[in-house]
Amino acid sequence: MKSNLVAQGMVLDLVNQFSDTLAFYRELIQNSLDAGSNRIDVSLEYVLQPDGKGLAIMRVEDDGSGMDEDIIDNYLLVLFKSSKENDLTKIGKFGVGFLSVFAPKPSLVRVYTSKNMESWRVDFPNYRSYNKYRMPNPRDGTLVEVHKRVTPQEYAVLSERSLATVRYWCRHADTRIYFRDRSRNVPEQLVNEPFRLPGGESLRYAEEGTEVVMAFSPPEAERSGNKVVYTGEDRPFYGFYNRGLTLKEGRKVFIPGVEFKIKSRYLEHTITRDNVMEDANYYKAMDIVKRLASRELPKKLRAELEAVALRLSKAAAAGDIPGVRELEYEWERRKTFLKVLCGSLLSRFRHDLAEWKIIPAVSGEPASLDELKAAWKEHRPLIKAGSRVPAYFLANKPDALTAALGALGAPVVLESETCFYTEFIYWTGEAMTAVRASNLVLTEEEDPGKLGPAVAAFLKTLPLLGESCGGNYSCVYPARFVYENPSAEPQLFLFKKDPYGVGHRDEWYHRKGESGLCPVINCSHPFINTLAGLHASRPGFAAFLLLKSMLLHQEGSLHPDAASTYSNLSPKLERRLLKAAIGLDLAAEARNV
Amino acid sequence: MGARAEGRFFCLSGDGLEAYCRSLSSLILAGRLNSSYPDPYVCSGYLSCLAPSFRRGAGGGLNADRLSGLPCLKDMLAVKIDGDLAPDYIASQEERRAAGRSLPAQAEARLEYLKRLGEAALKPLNRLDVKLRRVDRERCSAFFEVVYDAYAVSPAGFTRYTLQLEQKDAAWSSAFLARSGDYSEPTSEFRAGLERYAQDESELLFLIIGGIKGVRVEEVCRARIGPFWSRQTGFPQGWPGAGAGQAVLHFPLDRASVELKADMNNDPFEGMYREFLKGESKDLIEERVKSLGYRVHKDRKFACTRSAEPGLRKLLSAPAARNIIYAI
Repeated sequence: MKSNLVAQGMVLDLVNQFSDTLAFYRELIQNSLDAGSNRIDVSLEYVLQPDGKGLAIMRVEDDGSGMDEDIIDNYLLVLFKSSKENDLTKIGKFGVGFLSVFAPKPSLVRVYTSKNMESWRVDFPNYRSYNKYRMPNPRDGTLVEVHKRVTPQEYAVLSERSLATVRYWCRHADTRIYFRDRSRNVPEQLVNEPFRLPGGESLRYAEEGTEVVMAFSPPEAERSGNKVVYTGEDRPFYGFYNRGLTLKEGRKVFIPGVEFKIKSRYLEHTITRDNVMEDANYYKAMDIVKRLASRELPKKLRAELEAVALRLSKAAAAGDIPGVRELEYEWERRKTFLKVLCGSLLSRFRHDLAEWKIIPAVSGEPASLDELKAAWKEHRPLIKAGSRVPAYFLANKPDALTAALGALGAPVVLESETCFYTEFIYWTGEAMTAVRASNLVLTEEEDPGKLGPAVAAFLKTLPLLGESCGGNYSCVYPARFVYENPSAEPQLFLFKKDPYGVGHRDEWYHRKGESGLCPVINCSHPFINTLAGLHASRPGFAAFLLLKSMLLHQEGSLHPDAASTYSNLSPKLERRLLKAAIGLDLAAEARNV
Repeated sequence: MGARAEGRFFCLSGDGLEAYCRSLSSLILAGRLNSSYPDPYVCSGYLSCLAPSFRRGAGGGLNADRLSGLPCLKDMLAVKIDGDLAPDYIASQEERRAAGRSLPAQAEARLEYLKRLGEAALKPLNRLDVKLRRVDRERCSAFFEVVYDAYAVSPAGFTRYTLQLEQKDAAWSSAFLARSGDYSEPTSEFRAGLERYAQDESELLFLIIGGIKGVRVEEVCRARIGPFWSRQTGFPQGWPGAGAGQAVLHFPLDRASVELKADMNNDPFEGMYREFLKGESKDLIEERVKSLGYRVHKDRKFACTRSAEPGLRKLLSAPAARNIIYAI
């Protein structure tokens, strides 16, 4: 008697372990899958009883192999005895799943089943007793009915919860599952959804008994208006399934930057159904995931990043800002896993990350790290003549300046407020600095015919005075200065190795000490017009003012943007220049007289 | 001879073909077929793709076998091959279209048909799938489940054999079923053997494979879809007046298993294999049956149109069988 009470207490504990009272749907569907069903029908019906109370009948019907008396007596009705133990083609293992039908405290559980020409009905008024009846006609599969007394309001809630429960646990099932509420006119609907990740997958893999989908996890972001800031937090989705039945889903980092779903014969629930059993088989399943992440996913990463970088580059080249914003997300999404690869010396060596053309460029063609480095070697003087740290060009849109760089074969990396495309360079252990296009200037040769007569005359005078200051000034180069930002404060003049083309705004400063730099005059600078006006009456003085300004910068080796601490040239040079200027003014005065 | 050969097949086209495909397809799905049978959704899918409403001018008629009432293998394979070749054809025609060249109406119809076929993603009719069930280290053996699908010419079309086998460790190297860790692979010998022997009922296959050294057969199950009776194929003798819209589809199943306690035949149209044996051969086989320890169950269920149900029930009442009938 005592042992019987203990046994009943244990059964009650097992019934109560199902925290979700509707978990029986999952357990019954699992049994149906193991029975080889091709279709499972879940349905609800509300029946008014003669006493005026309502009865909800929840049904799970399959077309599986069914049960004969031997299976009913020796497996269905015996706890912890399963015919499926250690069978990799079956999901159920413990022999306790059927008990879950008692979790919602039903008034009756009824089972119809048939096998080997035997047909049975088994009634369970409660979990402690049952009655078994032989039925006259054979049937296909098994039908389980769970009867529960509920009010119409409770029934409506029960119906919705039933659909949600079946959908959560069974949406990826290998077998078609249909849901129908006969009393609320809810039409029959297919519960199954394709075995995919929400944002699509990068990798799909299948082997005997296992199917995996993997993708790069979406980046966590904070939004304020139109602005998106990626936080860098990684919360990838994971899902474990056996034959499509959900075992556990959540967010956790198994492989940084990678989300996955795995449907595997190796995975099974713990007896409490709230977790995945972490046994030897679980590690076999995880080994498959890890193997894919280390061998297959890097190839996908490269292919996808290159594709995204190409689309980003083309969108940037076309000035498609919304397109760029959208694609930034796709790039950002792959960054965490890229960081993992960059951080591993072995991966870096194996995957040749420097060759990946994954850096979006405003020219329309993405670049690789190797190409950036090669461009730095070739165009080093344009970037920073004196710097030993490799650098690359950066711009947020294409313009004449970036086109000129492109014509030189120098990639211009796309600049973004939200996505730092070149961050991975640091992860590989390389050091590179960015030279923003805003630090560059394009000097285009000015057509003398297009210059006003006053400016043209002034530019003719300049070399005459310049001869008195040395060879560099005996020839000045008139030019149009083009900046990335048209509203940037224009420079009056520049000293450049090559007078025309792209250069750093500070090229003169970076090349200090070098000889043979060409003085280039910004003909469209307002001060040049002012000087040209002055030049009509005082040509020497106008030329003197500009040349002195140029000399002060060059001779004093001052940074062009720095406030000058010098107000005068060396007395000798100043005197020589002044003398020549006065001479020019006197000559002009004489001509005018 | 020529006349007889012609008489074996009948040709369907137009509305007749449409009705045939629709009826057969829906009866397959009505049969509540479990995994012992060929996948009903795959089979039904093939029939849907053969219908003129799917082809929309891209295909001709269809030849069906008078004995099984099912489409000829050639026509079934043609759909699959079309589907396999579809991507290349679609790409080439799209290229042509992109180049500004218009397609003739027939090519246009074929292109649309192939696109629909691509979406249908038909699975192969013939398939061999081996799954490792478990490894028993104490017995030094591994247990496998083998599923072999084939489209037999006649009398039944869609056929699935499901085998539950145990293979002794020493036999793994004998090139029957290979296993590496948890992965199994049917060897070419196994594949060839199965294709050769899986022509008849499950008991014969049980006897043949059961004779292979190192292999213990637990169960062989053969389940089929067909024959199909309809106005075009005709009904058997004794059928009470074939009316319009009448159709019957058979789902026979035979299973030889060590789990079964006694032989049982619930198939009103087929006898047991051993009943046909006599004399020495009967004794020999009975001895083999005893040593292999299996018994055989035969069953047959049906799906039919409502108008055919009374006739079918009357036909089945004679052998007093308890067969499941789904009427739609």
